[in-house]
Amino acid sequence: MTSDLERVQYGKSLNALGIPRDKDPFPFDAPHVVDYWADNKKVLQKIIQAQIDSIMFASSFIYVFYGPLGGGKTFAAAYLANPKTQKLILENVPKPISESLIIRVPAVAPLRTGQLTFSLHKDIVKKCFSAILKSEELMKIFAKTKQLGSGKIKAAFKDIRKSVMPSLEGKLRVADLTNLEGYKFLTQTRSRLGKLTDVNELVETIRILVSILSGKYGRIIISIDELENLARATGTERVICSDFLRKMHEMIEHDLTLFLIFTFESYEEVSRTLQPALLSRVRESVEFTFVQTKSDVKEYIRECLLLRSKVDPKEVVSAEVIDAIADSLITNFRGRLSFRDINREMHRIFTTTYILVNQPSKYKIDLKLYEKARKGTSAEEIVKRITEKMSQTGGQK
Amino acid sequence: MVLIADKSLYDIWIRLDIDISSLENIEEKLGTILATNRTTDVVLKRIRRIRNMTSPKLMVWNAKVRKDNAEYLKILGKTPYDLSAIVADIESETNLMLRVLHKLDQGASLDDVDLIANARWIRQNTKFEPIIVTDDRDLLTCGHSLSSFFGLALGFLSSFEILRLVKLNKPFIRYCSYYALSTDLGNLDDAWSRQTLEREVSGVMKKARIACHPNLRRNDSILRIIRS
Repeated sequence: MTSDLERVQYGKSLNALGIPRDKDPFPFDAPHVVDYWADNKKVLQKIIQAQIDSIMFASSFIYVFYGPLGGGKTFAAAYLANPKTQKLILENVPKPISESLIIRVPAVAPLRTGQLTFSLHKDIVKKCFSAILKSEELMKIFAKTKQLGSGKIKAAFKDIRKSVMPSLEGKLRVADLTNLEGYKFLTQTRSRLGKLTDVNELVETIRILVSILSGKYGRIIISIDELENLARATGTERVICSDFLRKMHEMIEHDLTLFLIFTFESYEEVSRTLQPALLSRVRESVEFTFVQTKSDVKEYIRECLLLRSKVDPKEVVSAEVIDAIADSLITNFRGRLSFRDINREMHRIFTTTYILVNQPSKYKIDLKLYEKARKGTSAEEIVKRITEKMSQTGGQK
Repeated sequence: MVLIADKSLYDIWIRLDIDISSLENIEEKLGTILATNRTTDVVLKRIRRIRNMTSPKLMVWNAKVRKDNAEYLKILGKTPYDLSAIVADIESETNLMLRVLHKLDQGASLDDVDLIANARWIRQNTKFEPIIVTDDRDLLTCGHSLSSFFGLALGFLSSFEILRLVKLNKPFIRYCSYYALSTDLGNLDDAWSRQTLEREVSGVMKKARIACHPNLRRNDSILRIIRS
């Protein structure tokens, strides 16, 4: 989406097509709540298997997701994080186990060496604390737990625990968490307690938080997105980050799954970015490829409309239109078509057809309308129109 | 080419708060920075002692020094010799050089000579051409003559020269602004009596006494001028 006007037009076109506006079938960015899966069944099988393995075995795992931009990696992580997906998986797993907690954090593009890793740590600590504060059960575990590490880390956790008190409703809460010296220490801010001095201490804080969280959740899944930023970081940053992730896997032996998400087109790029010591610990890498066949595009469009928006695809676009869209996309992108490209194309088609039919309250996209929209928006057509206008004005003069 | 970093190099970079990316830029253009075991130990201890250093910065510099040390060990490890034997060999060479130098000047530093011994070993046993990068005045003034004294041909560069070579503008400006002539010459400027001035000049001379290069003027000459 490039402008607000386009966004408004697109929203209106969804309404006119009979699609609920809050259930955009072709979201531009991966939505936060994903309760459906369209196409790419092989990938789905792999990630579900990864999830089942995480549930069945206690030990910690590392998975790598890689693929092109808009290939569905973030979407996959959001899909796994959805409680509905988890429930579905748990129903089919023989072992009785509680639900998982999924923490999603982005790896920022570092302006200074270390920024990427330290912001990852900070985000994970903040999200762990936020999960603890939200749950009464976890607050009770935190208030009682004796395993709070040693030295300054122990002092920091104890400082936070001192502030745990019942609210007027009787629920346990921590007042003004961010201003507590212990919290400042654990999030690498200047604190009277001192400072975290090495990667082991960073990991130790997460280990303690994970052990508290595992009192309620069967599995803690940390999904780290945009790790391709590591490729642009300094060598030292890559060393620190790999060390941090490796030690997380080593020191947190149970109940942790790490999803490392890279926008890279090949595994070689992943292996160039991470240190061999971390790579050797990766349990499986899942590749998210470009959409290759026409039938995949058709299936994706149909399933997005059906599963996400809960509308019959036939009532929105005719089968011939879906066929024509798939044909044009496969021809134009020549093997480099991503799901995001399909979404973008569908946005364009919805908005253009809506304008072409003079913004009605209800309509359906048929082949004639689609062809008109396709021709109307081509650059060739616009140039032709401009030239015609110019020659007309010249003649009049 | 490889750059053997002296502890003073890390000191100045940390003090100037220059990002590691600048150091890696140097590595890309000139050669890998290596930190010997002794330098690594000293620098890691020093970093831990810096009180006003933030937690992320401390961890970054720890990682950088360790990475440079890993590079150093990797280069030594590429040779057919056993790593512990190499370390022992370098140590014995350092001690031998020190013994000779102590006859000339009791103040010769073990850390400085260790760098020269390491550079010598790398030059003789690997395909790499080592250059010692330092901001230590002793090494910069005496390094060449010292290494030529022992029949070596090693290069010595300061941060200033490195920054100029690699054309890192911002760090270069920061580096130049950091050094002020008044700090270096302050003591001499404040010495009002002949005795104090004599003592200060003598101190400066002593620092460089090890540079007994034949082309240099005799050390006593300036003192004699002051006395007269």
